[in-house]
Amino acid sequence: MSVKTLQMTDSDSVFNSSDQDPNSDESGLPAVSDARLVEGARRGDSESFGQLVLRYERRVMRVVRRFMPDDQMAQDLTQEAFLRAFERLEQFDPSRRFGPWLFRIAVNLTYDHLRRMKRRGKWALFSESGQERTPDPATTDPRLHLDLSQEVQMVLADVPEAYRTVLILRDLEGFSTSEVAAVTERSEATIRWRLAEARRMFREAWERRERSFEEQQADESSATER
Amino acid sequence: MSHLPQKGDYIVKCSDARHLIHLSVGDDNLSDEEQVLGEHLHQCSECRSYNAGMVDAMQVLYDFRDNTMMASDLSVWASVERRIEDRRSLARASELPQRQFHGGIIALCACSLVLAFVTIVNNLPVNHETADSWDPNGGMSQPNITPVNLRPMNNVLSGHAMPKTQSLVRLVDPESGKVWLQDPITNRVFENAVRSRMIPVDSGAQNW
Repeated sequence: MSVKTLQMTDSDSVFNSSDQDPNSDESGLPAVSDARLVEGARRGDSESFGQLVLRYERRVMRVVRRFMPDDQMAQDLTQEAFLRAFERLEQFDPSRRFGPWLFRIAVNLTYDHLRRMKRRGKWALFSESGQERTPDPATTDPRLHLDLSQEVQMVLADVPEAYRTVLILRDLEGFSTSEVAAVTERSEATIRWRLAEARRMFREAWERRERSFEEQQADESSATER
Repeated sequence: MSHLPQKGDYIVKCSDARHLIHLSVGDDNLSDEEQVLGEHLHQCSECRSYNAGMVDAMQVLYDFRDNTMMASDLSVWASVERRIEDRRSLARASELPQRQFHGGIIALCACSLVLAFVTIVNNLPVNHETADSWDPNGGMSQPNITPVNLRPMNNVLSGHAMPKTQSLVRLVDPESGKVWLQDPITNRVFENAVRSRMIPVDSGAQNW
């Protein structure tokens, strides 16, 4: 039962319990803790907040990008997440870790955006004429031309939000179960249960998709034979 | 020291085993759970094939993770900093008219109070008698003066038309108890007998 172990990236170290990032200071001086930087930022020191942004931006953008296929939009949402964090620093409990709080803001913002897009999509569907929406049988299903990453992203989109978050943070971004619990503000037991369910849902959705793909291919080949 | 597993010790239902399989593929099982699962898989071929399918599905996920091109390395700090500055300047700009607004409100309140005070003072009844006209040591004792406000009536007092709004001064002779009403503007004195036909509005006594 060998399982591929997740490799933590360099930036993962910012999520350690020590809240220290040894890579953040290129001069070799000991890195300033998140707590101290947050304290400075709360006093209005932009430099401190700038260091926090530089420390977390790549990681936040990666996480947002996992939910959002559009690079530009992911970047905008990352900016928005930091901006919101800056505005709400007063509400941040300094006795807790900054990282999970920041990721929670980013994930919530991303979901808000996705929901807005979904709603707009629904309205667009109602506003457009039915003829434009009717699939043309002469053209092939565009899903057949998707590459693996697009396929996986579509399958992931079928997984309910609460489970998708856990799956993405744990299996794609390498957060530990306790870190996911901190980000989502749920107990570790809940996260473990959701993780198991999320993996099951992903597997089922993936297998469903593969089956439908095989059926379509079989239909196409039988049509060409005729 | 350690409990040696006996046959039948690690019997779990397939549904429970599958839950453990979902966790096992991501290395999220505790060691004892892993042991229980291993024992079950050893015995159950269905769960073994389920486990193989699960490993394949997770491999797809891991391939996706490793092959996905991530967002550019461009730092967002410059943009974030600019937006923070924009918002700060916007906040500063919105604070300035707010202060002016508060000043305006205060000035308006002060003006209203002054205006109200002036109106009240103007409406106070005026005594045309000077203090010198009264002789405290004279034969007549100081009369009890009570202003009486009358509701405007188109009434006639002793053949004279009353003004629409009038404040009459009530003069009482403490010895005889006789009461007169005096118009402080015209100094015309009315007899109290007619007063019963008038409706007093403010009977509060004022010393002025």
